[in-house]
Amino acid sequence: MKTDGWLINSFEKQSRLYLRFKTTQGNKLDLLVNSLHYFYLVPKKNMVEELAYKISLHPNVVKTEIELKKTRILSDSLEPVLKISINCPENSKELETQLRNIEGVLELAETKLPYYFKFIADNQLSFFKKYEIAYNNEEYVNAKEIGEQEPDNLVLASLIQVKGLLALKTQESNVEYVTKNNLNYALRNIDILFASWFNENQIRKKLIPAGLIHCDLREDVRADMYFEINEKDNVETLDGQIILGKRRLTRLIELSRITGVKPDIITKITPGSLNTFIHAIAAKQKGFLVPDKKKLVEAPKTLLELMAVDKGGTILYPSPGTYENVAKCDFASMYPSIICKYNISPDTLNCSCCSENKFMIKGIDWHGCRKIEGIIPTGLEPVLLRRLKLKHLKKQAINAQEKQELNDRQGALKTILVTCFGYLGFSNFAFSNVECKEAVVLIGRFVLEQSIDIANEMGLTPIYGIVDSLFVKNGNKEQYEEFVKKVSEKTGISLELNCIFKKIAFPQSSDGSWVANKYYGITNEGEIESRGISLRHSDSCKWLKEFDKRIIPIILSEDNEKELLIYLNSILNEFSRQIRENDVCLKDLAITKRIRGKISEYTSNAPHLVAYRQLPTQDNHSKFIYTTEGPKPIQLTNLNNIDKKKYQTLLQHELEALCKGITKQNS
Amino acid sequence: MQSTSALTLCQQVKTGSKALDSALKISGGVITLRSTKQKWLSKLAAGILVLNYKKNSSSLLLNWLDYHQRYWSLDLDYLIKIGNGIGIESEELVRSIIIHRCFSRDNIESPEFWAALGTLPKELRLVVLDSFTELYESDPVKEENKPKIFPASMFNRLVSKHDAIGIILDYSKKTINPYLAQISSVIIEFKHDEGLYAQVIKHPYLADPLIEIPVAGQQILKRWTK
Repeated sequence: MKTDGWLINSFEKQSRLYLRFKTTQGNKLDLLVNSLHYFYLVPKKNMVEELAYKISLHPNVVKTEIELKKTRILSDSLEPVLKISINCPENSKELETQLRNIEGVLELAETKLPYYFKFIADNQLSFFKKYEIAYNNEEYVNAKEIGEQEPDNLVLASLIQVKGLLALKTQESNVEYVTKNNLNYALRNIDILFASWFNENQIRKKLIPAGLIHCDLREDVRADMYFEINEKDNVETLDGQIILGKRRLTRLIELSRITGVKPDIITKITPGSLNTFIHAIAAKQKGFLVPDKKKLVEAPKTLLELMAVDKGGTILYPSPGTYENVAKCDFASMYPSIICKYNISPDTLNCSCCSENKFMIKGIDWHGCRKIEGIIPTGLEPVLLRRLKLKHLKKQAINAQEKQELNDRQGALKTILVTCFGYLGFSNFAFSNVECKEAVVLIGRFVLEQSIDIANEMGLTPIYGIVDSLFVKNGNKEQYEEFVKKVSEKTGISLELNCIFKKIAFPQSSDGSWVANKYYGITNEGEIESRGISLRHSDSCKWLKEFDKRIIPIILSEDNEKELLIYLNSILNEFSRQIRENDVCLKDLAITKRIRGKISEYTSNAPHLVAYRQLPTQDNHSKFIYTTEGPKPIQLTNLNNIDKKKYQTLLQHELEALCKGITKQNS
Repeated sequence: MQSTSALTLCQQVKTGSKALDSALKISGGVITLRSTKQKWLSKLAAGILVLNYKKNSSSLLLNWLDYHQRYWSLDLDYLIKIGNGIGIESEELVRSIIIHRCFSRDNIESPEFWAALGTLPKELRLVVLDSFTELYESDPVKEENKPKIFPASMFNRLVSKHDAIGIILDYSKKTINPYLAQISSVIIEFKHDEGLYAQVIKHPYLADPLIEIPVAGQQILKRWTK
């Protein structure tokens, strides 16, 4: 039989794997997969046949097959390994332990990859893609991809606890009150449930039907550093959960599709871990075994060599002061782009196949391979290209809702890209290699240095640079556009003109030193852009941000120092008066900080933790005010007990931070 | 009969402190230095690397450390400053120190790791391990992990192979690992409450260890008992 639909999830029942499809008619289709859980065993030389026979006698082993695989990252040669298929995945740990102790067994591989993931990877399936599905009596046969279109008929629901009962609602239905006993039945037609009520895995497993995609919004948002919550997003109401859930769904779909991780797992793992999955797929495609343990070790180096290679990105510190007509240029996903363009991967770095015409890495006698694409670039390139496409579509979108959706999607992929570089050096990542990380940084330094040279050649003056960003002056818009084009062509890494500042200020730090990552400016479009000041900090209170918004245009427009100081003092006095006379809204003084872990695990007495312990919230945000009795949650404060001295001090510090090195008085 | 290189090494290991130097006059083997003050002990080790520099020979620094806690733990400026202070050219000094880093137990328990150390120059005078217990206290235990006996004995073998002196830094607050205690010729424990003092726990010139060194209590993985 055949039908069209989307692969939306997978689950296990009685040790067997099922794939869940949602058909175009809106029906759920659960198909049994006629495939066994397996892992690999790497034997000592000439022992594969003997081991194949011995191990096949084990009661938990259904069959053993000899396959040829690449077992070492640094070698292309195929070696015979054993594929061991088992009937009881729950007993696999015990079997693995026994196998490791057998004479002739070097190591096991792919024991840590989930059962469903291996099936998806081996059969080149993707979640949320459209397929023509062939099946026979509820048993999966195959699926042929027929389009990129995403499912539009998923039934979403949200669940919250209300006075001991559970309230359930879908987009179309009214609220239904259910108990734990009939919850399973109530969820039978739901595809995706947004709920933060299930505190423990045990309850979750018992109460949520197999195959249902469960998204704990609170956990999901907590892990996502790039997600901006709107006022409408609310985890405490049914409708709020669905609105937020729809936004999170686009993220789940993007990530699930590209990583092969099933959607309800996406919400439970760190963005960095997604790197493991994309590279596992790439490794399997290239015939490599995915090792259980990281085997690559860093080569011994002299301290002299280590000093030459183990560096951070280039920083060109700005001379404190103000500048006019400055272009801000950013490299798009610089490190991931370098990894892909220069083919930086443990299996290709310093390859033996390229004798001539190799990518030489400046600063060290290393090279990238021009013949074979490595595991890391193979895994990363689809993510990079997809993100660039989404960013391009976002620029062209007119509708605000469409812009937000595209932004959420590209933000989801950004989490993989920003973690991929760190993962290259992460000790628990099977394919990590410190030399690769060092190579990426060295190339990045060279790229930025090349850009500085090109700017100088064109008569532009670089005034500030940090890793993947360069600020230049002395040009006009056409010259800046010409500059980014030249750099992109010369380096092969895309440099974009982000904005042009009418005027920009680079203050000093409080101790008088030059500092990177701290500036504020007004663009030609009249917008304030900043880094390293309260206006930019997500945990600063609204009142201080308002202060910044008032002060910054004045600092950047007033050339007369005397007049400037008069204006600054007058604004400072105005804000001081607001605090003194309680002429300020309490919520504008609140500082909000996210609590990422469990509050019981924190030992620090930082203000946001002290406040949160007094009144924990559902959304894991500590919103607190400095009071005369220490930090308190906003719900337990009023204007009469705010710590006025503290806020005056914050104001003073903010002014100093903005003016240090800018005005003569504060230099 | 002692080998020539061992006789040559039967000088004190210079530490920068006369009192400590007198306790470290041995012909070879492993010296374990214990302190819970990681930065202090690491600095002491940096000083030892510099003060025992000899032209045309190398020292090896094994960095087994928790990536997230202290990725780049060697105080380079301090090292070069001491070197310049006793007349060693900076480039010569940094060329003579070989570093091998590991951030995971998987690495130090793998044959590939120890094979990579097989390519080191024969003239290795000093091997410093910073540190022994850090990865054990930060990494979760996996069933396939080997106990501490393995890296301790591999370290001991490496030191013997090169006729070098091995120095192991141990920051653990727990009692010294029994096998580490067994392979060490000298164990010195530093205490930092109300001033700094060093306690010589074990030394070839001490008839008995100063305090009892446990011989039991090694963590035993299930599969090792089968």
